Amino acid sequence: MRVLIIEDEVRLNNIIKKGFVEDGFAVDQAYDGEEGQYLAENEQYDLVVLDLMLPKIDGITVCKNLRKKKSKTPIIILTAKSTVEDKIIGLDSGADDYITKPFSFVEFRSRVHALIRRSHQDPSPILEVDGLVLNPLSHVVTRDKNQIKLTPKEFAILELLMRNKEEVTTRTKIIEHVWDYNFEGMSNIVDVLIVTLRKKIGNGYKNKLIKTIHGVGYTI
Amino acid sequence: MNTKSIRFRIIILFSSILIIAISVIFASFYIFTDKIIYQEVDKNLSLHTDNLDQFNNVSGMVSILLDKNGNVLKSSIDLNSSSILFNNLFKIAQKNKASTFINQSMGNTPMRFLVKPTWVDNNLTEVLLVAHPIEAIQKTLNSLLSTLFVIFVIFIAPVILGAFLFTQKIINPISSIIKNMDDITTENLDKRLENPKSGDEIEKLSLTFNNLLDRLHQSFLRERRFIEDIAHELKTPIATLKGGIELTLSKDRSKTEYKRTLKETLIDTDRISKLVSNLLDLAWVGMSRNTHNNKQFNLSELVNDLAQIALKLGLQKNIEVNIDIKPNIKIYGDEGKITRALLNIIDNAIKYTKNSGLVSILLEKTSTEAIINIKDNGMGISKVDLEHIFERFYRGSKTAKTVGSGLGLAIGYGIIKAHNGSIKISSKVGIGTLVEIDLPISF
Repeated sequence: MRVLIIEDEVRLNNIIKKGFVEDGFAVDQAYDGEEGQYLAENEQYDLVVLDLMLPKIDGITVCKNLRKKKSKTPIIILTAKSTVEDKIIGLDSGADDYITKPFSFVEFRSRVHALIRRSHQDPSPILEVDGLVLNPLSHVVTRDKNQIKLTPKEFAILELLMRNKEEVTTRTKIIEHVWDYNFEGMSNIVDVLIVTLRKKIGNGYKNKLIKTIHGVGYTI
Repeated sequence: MNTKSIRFRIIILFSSILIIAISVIFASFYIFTDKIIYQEVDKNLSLHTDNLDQFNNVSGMVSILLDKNGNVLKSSIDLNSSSILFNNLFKIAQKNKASTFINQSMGNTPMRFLVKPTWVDNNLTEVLLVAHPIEAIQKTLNSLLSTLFVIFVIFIAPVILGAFLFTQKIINPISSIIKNMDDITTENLDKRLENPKSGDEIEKLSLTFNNLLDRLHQSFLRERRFIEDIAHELKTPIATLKGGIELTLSKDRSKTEYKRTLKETLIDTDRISKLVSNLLDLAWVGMSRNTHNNKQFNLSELVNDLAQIALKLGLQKNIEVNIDIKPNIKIYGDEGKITRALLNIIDNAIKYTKNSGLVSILLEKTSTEAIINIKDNGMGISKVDLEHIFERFYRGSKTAKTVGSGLGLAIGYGIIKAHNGSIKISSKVGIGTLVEIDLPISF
């Protein structure tokens, strides 16, 4: 999953980023409304975390602008403004959730996962394909109850494939959703990771689950 | 009824005045009538006495002549045993040389007597008593008295009612103001009294109340905003603090990572404690007569010290600092607070001046004031921002949110004001800013 954090308080921004990175997310950071809006419009994100009081363009305007441009990315507002009126304005401008500072990081994380789940229309927090089970919150992957250890990037690719099961996930999409803006690696890194991933989850099974669609991408 | 209420007091006062006035009028009327009637009777008596023989036949008239010992010499009627009566009258005659009028009953008949003694060489020779019956007169006077009394009693009720209505008319608008004021709480401070448009004191009172409410409402909103601002200012560092700690605790980490987190939390706690000390300074400014730290001190030395700090601060940005300080200018006040105010302003001057800029710090005095000028050629302040520059938590539209707490100038302004000084800021965007502070000097 790839997330954009728009928050002008640099240290808070870094802490949120750190939390996301530990969840295996790819994270981009923006420190003002203008930069944030530019990134949100031009990159593919699974979620945007948005502060309201931002330099240059305020959060509400950013949110409205993104919705005007038909962006469907879930937006979660994270702000110190805590009155009911503020919350109404925030949600009515197109945000999907509203969290006030100071917030509980654990709750924040759960809300983020809930929003991502909803945007992929997954009813259950746990993803499952043919006995392969992935829990995005606890970061545990099992196949027939045997735990499989994955690196964060492998985990992120598997989660993406499982969220889009029975559809073809292109290499570009994998790169867009698993790596952040600063990624300049070659696209064959995806192929390399898919090979190790297929080996780990398919070890000892006939059905390797991950199939290659030549010239397009992968599917599960 | 509340006996202390204005309504009650006005009713009592109003009724008493009217009742006393009516009583005085009625009493005078009665006394006057009484006097006139008796004067008339006395006139007749005197007339009859002078011409005794001529009026002897007037009905009911009695004339008696007593000798020098009080014995009856002559009488126009039959006298039975009423000599005690004559003794009494004779005693009066002995005491008075002139004629005396007196009411005295003869048997059951009230009479008006004229006692006329005749004195020869200081010896009483004889006493003439002439009397008219005054039964009719007394009856008339009595019935007049009772009539007056009845009229008086009948009058009292309307008088009290009148007083009541009169008071009602005066008090009612006040009562309605009280009722309306009662309804106003902190929840509906925007409610106002209706203007009675009566053009009197009540209208003035309503307007005064409304003005007071306006001021209260404004300051209430200001305070509420201030508290919201404080909460907001505290929320971000607390969010950072809390987020950082929660994240670190979410799993086992290395020693260096724990150390790093602790260092991070220290930055946030520093920020929070700085904000709190700023709030304390603001509270100090709010208490107008806080003078226990006041003493005379050398402002020249203080400004010089601050200028040295400015030099050091400016060094990093290669800012030139011009210093022109007249020596030995002394003022009276709290040295620590003044330092705080001036340092805030000097710090701003350095902060908002670009690299290789120029800041000048100048101190001089007139006969009554010390004048401090702090001038820079930095980015300047827009007109819109300039109007709000001394407001608490106001940050210029161009300053990044993270710079400062937004309290510095508000505190500085408060401190200078508390020292009976004044502070003026003039600025042009792109050209620079001049802060002029005047403080009264002590001798």
